[in-house]
Amino acid sequence: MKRLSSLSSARRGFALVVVLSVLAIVTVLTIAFLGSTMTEVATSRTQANTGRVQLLADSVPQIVISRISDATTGLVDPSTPASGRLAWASQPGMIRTYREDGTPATYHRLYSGDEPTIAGASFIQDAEVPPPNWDKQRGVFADLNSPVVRVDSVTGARSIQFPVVDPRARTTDDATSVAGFSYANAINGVVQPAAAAADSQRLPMPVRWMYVLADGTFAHPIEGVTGTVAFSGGAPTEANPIVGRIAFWTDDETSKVNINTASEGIYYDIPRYTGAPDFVLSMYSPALGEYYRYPGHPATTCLSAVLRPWLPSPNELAISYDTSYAPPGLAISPRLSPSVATELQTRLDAYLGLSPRSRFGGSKGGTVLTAAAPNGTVPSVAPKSERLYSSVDELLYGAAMPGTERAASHAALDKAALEKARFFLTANNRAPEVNLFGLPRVTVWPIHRNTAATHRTTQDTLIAFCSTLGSMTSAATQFPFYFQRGNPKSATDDYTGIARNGLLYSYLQSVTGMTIPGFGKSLLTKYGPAERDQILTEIFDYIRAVNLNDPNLPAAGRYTDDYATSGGTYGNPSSSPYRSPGIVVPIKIANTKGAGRWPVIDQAFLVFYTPAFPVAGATPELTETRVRAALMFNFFYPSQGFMVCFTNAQLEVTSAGDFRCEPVSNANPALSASLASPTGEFSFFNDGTTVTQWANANERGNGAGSPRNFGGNHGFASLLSHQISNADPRKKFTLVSRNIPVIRGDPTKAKWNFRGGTFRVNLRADPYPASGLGEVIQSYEFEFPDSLNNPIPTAGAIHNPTSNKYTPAAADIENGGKGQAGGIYMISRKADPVTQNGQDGGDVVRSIQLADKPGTGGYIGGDIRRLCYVTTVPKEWYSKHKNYDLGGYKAHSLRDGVGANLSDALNAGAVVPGMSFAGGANYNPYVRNEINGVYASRTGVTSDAPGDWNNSFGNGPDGPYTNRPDEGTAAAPGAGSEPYYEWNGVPQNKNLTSPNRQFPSAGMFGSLSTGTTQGFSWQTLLFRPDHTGKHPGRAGVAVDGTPSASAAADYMWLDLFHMPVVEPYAIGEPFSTAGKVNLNTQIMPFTYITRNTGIWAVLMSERVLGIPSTTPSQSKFYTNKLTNPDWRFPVNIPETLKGLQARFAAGDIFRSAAEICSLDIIPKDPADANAKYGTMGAYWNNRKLSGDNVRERPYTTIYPRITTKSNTYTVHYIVQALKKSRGTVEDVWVEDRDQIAGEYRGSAMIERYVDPSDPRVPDFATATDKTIESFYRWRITTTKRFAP
Amino acid sequence: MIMLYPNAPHRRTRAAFTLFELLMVMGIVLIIGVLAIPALSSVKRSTALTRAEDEILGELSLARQHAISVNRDVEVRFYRVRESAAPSAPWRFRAVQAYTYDAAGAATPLRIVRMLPREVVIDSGTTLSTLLAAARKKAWSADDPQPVVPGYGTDYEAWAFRFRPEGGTDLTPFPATPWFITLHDAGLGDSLATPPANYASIVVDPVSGQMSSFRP
Repeated sequence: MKRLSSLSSARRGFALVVVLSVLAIVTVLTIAFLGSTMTEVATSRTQANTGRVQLLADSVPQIVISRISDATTGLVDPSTPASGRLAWASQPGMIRTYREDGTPATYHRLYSGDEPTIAGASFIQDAEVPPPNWDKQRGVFADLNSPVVRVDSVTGARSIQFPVVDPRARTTDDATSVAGFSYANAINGVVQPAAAAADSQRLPMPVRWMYVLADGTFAHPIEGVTGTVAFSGGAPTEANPIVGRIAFWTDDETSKVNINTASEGIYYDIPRYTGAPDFVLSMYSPALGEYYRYPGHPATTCLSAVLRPWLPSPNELAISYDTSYAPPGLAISPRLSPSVATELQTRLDAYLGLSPRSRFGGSKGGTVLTAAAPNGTVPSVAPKSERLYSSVDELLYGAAMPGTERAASHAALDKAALEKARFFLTANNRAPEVNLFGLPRVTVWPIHRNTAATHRTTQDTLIAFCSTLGSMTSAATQFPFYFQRGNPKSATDDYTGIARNGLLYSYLQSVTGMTIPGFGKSLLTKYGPAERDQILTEIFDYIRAVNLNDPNLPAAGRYTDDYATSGGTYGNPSSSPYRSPGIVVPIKIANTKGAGRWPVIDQAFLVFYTPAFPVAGATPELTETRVRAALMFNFFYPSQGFMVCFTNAQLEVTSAGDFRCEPVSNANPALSASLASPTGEFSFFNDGTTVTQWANANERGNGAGSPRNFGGNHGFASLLSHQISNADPRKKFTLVSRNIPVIRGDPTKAKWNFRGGTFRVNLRADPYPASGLGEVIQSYEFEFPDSLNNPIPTAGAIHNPTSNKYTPAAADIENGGKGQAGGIYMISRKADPVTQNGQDGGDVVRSIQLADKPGTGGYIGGDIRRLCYVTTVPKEWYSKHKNYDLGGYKAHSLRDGVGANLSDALNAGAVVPGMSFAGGANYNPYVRNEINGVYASRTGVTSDAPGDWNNSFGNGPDGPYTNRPDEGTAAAPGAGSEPYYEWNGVPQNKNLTSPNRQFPSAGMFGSLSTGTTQGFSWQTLLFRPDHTGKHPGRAGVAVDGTPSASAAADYMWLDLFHMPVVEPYAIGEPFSTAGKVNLNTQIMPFTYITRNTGIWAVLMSERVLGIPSTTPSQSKFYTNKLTNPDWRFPVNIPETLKGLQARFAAGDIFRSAAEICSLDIIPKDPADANAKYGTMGAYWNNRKLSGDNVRERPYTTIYPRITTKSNTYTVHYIVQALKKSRGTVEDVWVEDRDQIAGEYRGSAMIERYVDPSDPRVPDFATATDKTIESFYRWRITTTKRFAP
Repeated sequence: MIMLYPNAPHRRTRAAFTLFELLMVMGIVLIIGVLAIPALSSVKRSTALTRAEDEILGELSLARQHAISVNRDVEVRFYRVRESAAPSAPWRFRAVQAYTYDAAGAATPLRIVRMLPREVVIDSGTTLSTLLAAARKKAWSADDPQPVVPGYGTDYEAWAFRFRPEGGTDLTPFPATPWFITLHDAGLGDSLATPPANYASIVVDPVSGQMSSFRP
């Protein structure tokens, strides 16, 4: 047994050894296995965190989309449904909505925080700004702009990259900083630029964390500096723990400069005075394809506002002029100094090299001659069709691929530069073309009703596309928001014959009748129904009369008769003159009437002449002189400008009254006169009481040597100078008296009295191709008062330009003809060499003119535009000439087409009191002599607001014009006759005209009259600030000047229209436009950061023309072209921006881009200390010769490039996946102890858009109770990780 | 007497092995063991190569994933250390470690140094390891000081490349020769002109950061 026991004990020991050995082996194996999988586990866990972070990151853009949708898609404010429509305006970080009464509704925060919205009434701007000690509040605030420092793993080089804005874009030197960018030390952590420590600059953008709980809800941290974060609202629990946190802020892409649409604007406008800059505009105007010089084009927005630290700006180049240069074969004409031109070209070339669609060429920024002479061609710019940038990063690379890689866009633009510029640039920003009612804007460009390519250019078709809602598959489901046209010779057809025009007209009636949300005012309240409709008709007709002779269409497809083929040219009159190039018969809609492009009669006059030499008697007092009367009219076109227009109208004239000649007997036989004929009655007319007279001119505006047909004053020669066969009955001049009373008396001493009468005139359109009488366009009544003690006319004469001699006119008039090849001087001049009888004197002329203040009361002020808008002009609107009763030969104020006085004409008056012009009265504006200052009023007293008159193009006389868009001129410059100073008509050149070169925006309507139905004169739509406080165009007053709190400002019209940009590509899509810059530059909640760069980009290429009102003014005298100063001043942008800052400082933003018209655009005028914010009233008081059109011009070209609404936003965000530590309680977050499991920093660009063919979209022209806002959809266009 | 196993055969019939038998078995086992030593050594070296390959691939994968997850640069450093404490001992690439760079540019180790088995080295020649080219040698600076590595102090050199937060690397894209390292038996020496019979190459895609390995 002992052995057995001994053996058993040994076996037990061995088993233990075996078990321990196995355990050891298993343990080793287990440890080895775990060790081998530890890395995989860690990797998997990390990957899981990545997924959580990505999910959180994906949710942030959706949060912002939700907030923007809430802000923009509702018709009404949910909190106050009865408040009516809402307007909205965006800015970086916030969208604000406003009620119909103008009060703030709800402000939507586009950054993380406790609440997504705040009631506008409770909004305190400063409370939105992060607290100064944000950096101490760990776990509460996240700095979205926290930089990442990189130390290169190999070189050790240190670099810093900022996710949102690189503060180094601002340096200690303005010249090397991005324009308009700065920041203040409002919160901890801001480090300003210092001379030698750029890398230490910091610009924190702290926003609050929003903690995400497991169930998807948010917990909002309570401010505190302990690092242990408690929460308001739903606190985390063990069952619903913290799983992550997000922080975000949303930038508004329209606050940036679009690298696809912007390039580098070089200023262009029609020349307006005789200074060197304007002669450069004349001779070096932009060619087709020079989009960077198209006024108001997005390409005029300047990239150099951003890139100036690396690429010197062409717009910051000091300009000087060479006034000794004569282009080959031409007279001296100013140009840019050669050194300036060279540098300008170099700088411009660099910028245009960055643009995918704007090419360097053509006038090359106004340095290469584009006027047609001397070689008769205009340089054009080849299209540039590079792929558009899809992101700002691509700006580093050019289109060229010299090898296997793309070339750099420019040597000076490297990655570091781009990082600094990134906050100011975008490749995709779009602004909605939707009005404040959330309804479509109406396009201002006319489209022919005929859709064929013979009547619509490719640009027309694209504009039509961009202005159409609804399905394009069927005309029945298309809803065009553009006016159509088809018949320029009818006063009704384009309205009644095109149903859509009527619908759009009533659509505009409807929206003007609604209270404008955000403003609490309406246009209907301002004007009343009659005046509102009148303005609408003026606008409709203005649009209709644009682009009349498009050279890109065949002659038959052009809206009006073609100029080149039917109108003849200067020196080469057409043989078929009864056509109407450039003529548009005014539209009549109900009781309203437009201006069209049609003549009005501002002056009627009688010419008393002797058709034969007097028959001498035995003594002088027995001399018998035959006296005949002819009726004449002076035609004036307020629609002055290019293209040319040729008067072509019928006058149906009826006489009523005596019209008698009564010789005056005198006790002194030597002075006495008696009637030698059977009757003293002149007896109008030769052919009866009522006659029809043609007025027609084809490049013969006022007889030989005075061909002027650009609108403005056309004189009276169209009654006389028909370039057709004498056999044509229409050539007959019929407005002569049938009788020829004979006065017996000494022609040098005897007198006669004229007993007046009345003429009624129906001005009719050419019925062509029909014959007979045309449509009555306008009716006049002219009452000629008696004129006593007139001299006896001396022998009339006809000037023969060939022989330069005068021959009697009697024969032709006697025969009812007038056809002298060179035209006729119907009014012989006192100085004419009438040598036959040694007498001088000539004809006796008595005119009646458009009145200043009619005897029946009221005020016309000689505003010829008033005539356009009435169908029947009462006789009271005319009054006798100042010299009517003075007993002299001449009592008229007749001028030729360029404004030169005809013989013995009385000088014109002044639109600015006391003004005169160097070079003579020929430059005086088109107002009658007695007028010394005009006023926007119906009383015409000096305390009224100064009147709205326009500067002419070139150096023509100023006057009552309607600011016609420039269709271009290819006038060949000759000695002393540069384009726009040259008055010879030349057809448009394809290389000088296009829609977007002609029509920048609805700001062009700024010279359309207002208040005409209520008796106002010299008052036009006010699209600029009113420093007088008297102009009825301002907000808060009705059109008659009476206070009316709910009367909108004139500039609210701008919100209802837009001009699609279709060149070089569809920058304007249906109801949105790319490249606009947001006027609301204020950044919420980071108000300490100033980013006005976009506005700088808009303003850098603008100029302000300030013509001094020193007397006599040198502004028009041609001889001064080499000596006049440069009065086209660049914009003083910092001063101008003070207007914006004032609005922001008051806690408000701009609700409509139209409000730009309430801001001063301040010129950088070194000669006037008043050229600064706050004193611009005094400045313009010194620049009174800048007309209304000139002062509104900057607004016209700025407005289409700015917005207050954005469709595109970029969300910058940080998200972190979080994990609670076991040692911390569940309802708080302990920074540094709880764990950050993952992080994602990045940005996403989101875009709202409308599908124009959405079948749900109604025709808003009739459904104005709806809004297009609810049809917007969203897309996330790009997401980008911040991965430095 | 109590019979524990009354039915068990008599113990004597189950007598133990004789001493001779045991000696024979042990001798045979010894002979087999001696004969198997070379083969086991080869297996051991091969296993070490696999382990080293897995170690580096794991470290690279973790580094890349971490870079993506925390949105930071993560640098992978290959350490070149002396074989022994002797000053004349040759330098060998024997360790790898990943560092995370925070926003301020400071580096923090992702985890401890991963030492390779002693049997394996990373070939330092650019023929077999383009990632270890002289141009990729880590430059220490005040902003990025050299950390102490346990066991080596600062007596080491490092070659490095980085994974970026988007998963890619800071390596030059589209190189003429791929970015890679080669592991092989330490006994074969270093900076080999041609690949040995057994080796593992780890290739890094510079754009995507993806890794792949190759074994013959």
